[in-house]
This record gives sequence, C-alpha cells and structure tokens, in this order.
Amino acid sequence: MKEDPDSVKQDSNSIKDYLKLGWELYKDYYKPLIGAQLLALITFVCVSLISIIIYIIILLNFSPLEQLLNITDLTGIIFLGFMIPGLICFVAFIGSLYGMSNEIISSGDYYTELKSSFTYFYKFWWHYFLIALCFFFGFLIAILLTNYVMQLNPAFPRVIFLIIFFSFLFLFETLVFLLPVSLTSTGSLKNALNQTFNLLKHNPKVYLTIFAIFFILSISIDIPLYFLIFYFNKSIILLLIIALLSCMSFFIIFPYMILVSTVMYHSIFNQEELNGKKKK
Amino acid sequence: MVKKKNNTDDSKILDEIIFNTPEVVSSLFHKKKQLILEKLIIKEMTIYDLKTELRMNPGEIRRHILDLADKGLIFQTKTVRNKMGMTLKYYRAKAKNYIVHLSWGVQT
Repeated sequence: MKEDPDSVKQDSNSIKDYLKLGWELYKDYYKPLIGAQLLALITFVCVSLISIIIYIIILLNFSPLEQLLNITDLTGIIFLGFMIPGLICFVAFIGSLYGMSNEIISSGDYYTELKSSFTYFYKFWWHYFLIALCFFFGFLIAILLTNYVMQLNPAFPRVIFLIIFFSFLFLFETLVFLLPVSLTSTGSLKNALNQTFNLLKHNPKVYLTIFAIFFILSISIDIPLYFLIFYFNKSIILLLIIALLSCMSFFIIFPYMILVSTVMYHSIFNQEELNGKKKK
Repeated sequence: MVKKKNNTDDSKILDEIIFNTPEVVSSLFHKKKQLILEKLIIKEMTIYDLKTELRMNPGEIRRHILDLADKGLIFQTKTVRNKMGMTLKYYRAKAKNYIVHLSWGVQT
C-alpha cells in the first residue's frame, strides 16, 4: 500500500481533527451503528426472556412454589447465572461497533453495514465479554478501594478520596475502553494489550484529553439523570426527559466515542509508522 | 467491447470505449452513476472524496462504484493511507467517452 506523501510533511493531527472526523463518520454511518445497538438490546431481551422461562420451569419443578416469592441468596446467584447468555449477546453486539468502526477506516471503501456486526460478533464475542467484565471490575475495584481507605481512616478528607476514586476510574476505564480498538485491528488480546499500553504510554496527552472530554460529557448527562430518577416525583414529562437523555447517551455519545477512539488509534499508529520510517 | 487508444497526456485512461453488449446500458444511463463517472473521468477519487463532492450517502456511492467496476467502466488505481490513518481506495474511469452500439428490432 502506498503512503500519502502529504502525511509525511504534516505534523500529528490535533484533537479537534479526531473529534471532527469522528462526528463525520457518525453522521455517515449512524444507521448501521444504531442498528447494531438495537440488535444488542433485542437479543438481550429475547435471550434473557428464554433464560428466565427456563429458570422458572426449573424452579417450579425442583422446589415448592412458595420459594418463588421468597428468593434466597442461592436462587439469586443461579438467576444471575441464567442472565449471562443474554449479557454475552448484548456485550458482543455492542463490541461489534468497534469492528464496524475499524471497517470504515481500514477497509479502503469507507464503508460498513449492519451485516458486519454478525461477523465481529462471531469472531470476538468472548473477547468483548472479557473486556466488559474488566470494565465492570474497574468500577468494583474503585468502590472497594475507596471503601477500604475510608474504613482505614474515617478522617480522610472526602475531596481527596473522590479525586483518587475518579482518577483511578478514569485511567482504568480509558485503558479498557481502548482495548477493543486494537483487538479488532490486531486480532489478538495479548497484542492488543501491549499495543494499548504502548499507545497510552507514548501519547498520554491526546488520549487522556479526549477521554476527559467524554468522561465529563458522560458525567454531565449521567449525574442529572441520577438526580432525575431518584430525587424527583415521576411525571410523564420527566420520564420523557430521562428517556431522551438515556437514548442520547447510548445511541449518540457511546458510538461517537468508539469512532473517535478508532480514528485516534489509526492516526497515531500511522504517524508512528511514518516516524519510524523517517528515522530509518 | 472496442477500446481506442488514448492520445492525450493522461496515460491512465482511454479516449473512448465502444460497447456492443446490452449489460452496460442500465449502468451507463443511470443518473447517479453518470454523476460518479463524470467525476472519475476528470480525476481519480475515493468514495470519501465522492461523498464530499456529490453529497451522496457513501453506502450508495459504494454500491454504484462496485457496479461500475463490475461492468468494466471504472477501475481501482491505488490504495492510500491518508494522514488520519484511513485506508482509501482510488477509482478512475476507464475512458473519457463511452459509446454504445446497439440495435433492436424484429427481423422481417
């Protein structure tokens, strides 16, 4: 493949370029991307419903009916186990957004379609599930760590505690969020981990600035959402606002974040390759 | 299909191609495909460039491009990675003019 001669002369791209191209890609391909997200939701609901029906049948056959009303810890854990297939389907289809973004940028035809989500689902489903688990454990570790620190020293200032909590969460989730980008490109989890670490190590400014923007954007939507859900009386208008904000966060910001991450990955990787060639 | 040699500076494309098969008619006289062909006669372009210039959906452009390439009206010239790391295929028209020689009727 030939390299664009202009690219050698140009300096590295700015954060504004990444955000701009990401938005352009989103505008061109929001239909297949949202389609994949809807597919994720539909499969989650369908597979979970089937699992719940199987769970209830097993519960009715092996234990008395009263147990249904008085769910013990054990049945709760078994229930969670039954929800795993649905969650895997959901996470794998959401993960396929990374594959579709990668396809737009690296296929050469500036193209992707909903059908591609099935290809990436089949190819990387367990990788995506593993990464989603890491994402979840990141939250869990952050909460457990902060709880531990608070118990150790109750006089510990809450501001510092919050800063540590959010810093850890931010760094860890940035790393985990970037992992599927190189996974879809390299095809191996080990290589993806090495590459993500290296990219983050050599370009911390770009990555952290972009993710700080998204982090603030997500928080600015999620925190009002939290207050709306828990602290206000539920009216139809309020529910509509909640639904609108949730849809905005899920169907616009999330795929946009994936597109920007993919653009950033390819651009930085390309720049590093060119710099390597220049040095040689 | 009859090809005539190019006499201009641009060595990549022919002056004209004469078709005598009916398969190309639907593609050659399709309005959007004609728009794409017009651009590709002037210079080599990517789907991304065509999308920006024609303000058409890139998926639709790709569909037309594949059809035009399949009918032998255009060809892929090169693959380039731009400064944003995007891999882009360049396409070019095969000729400046496309002539169709076809006749249809009932022999009496």
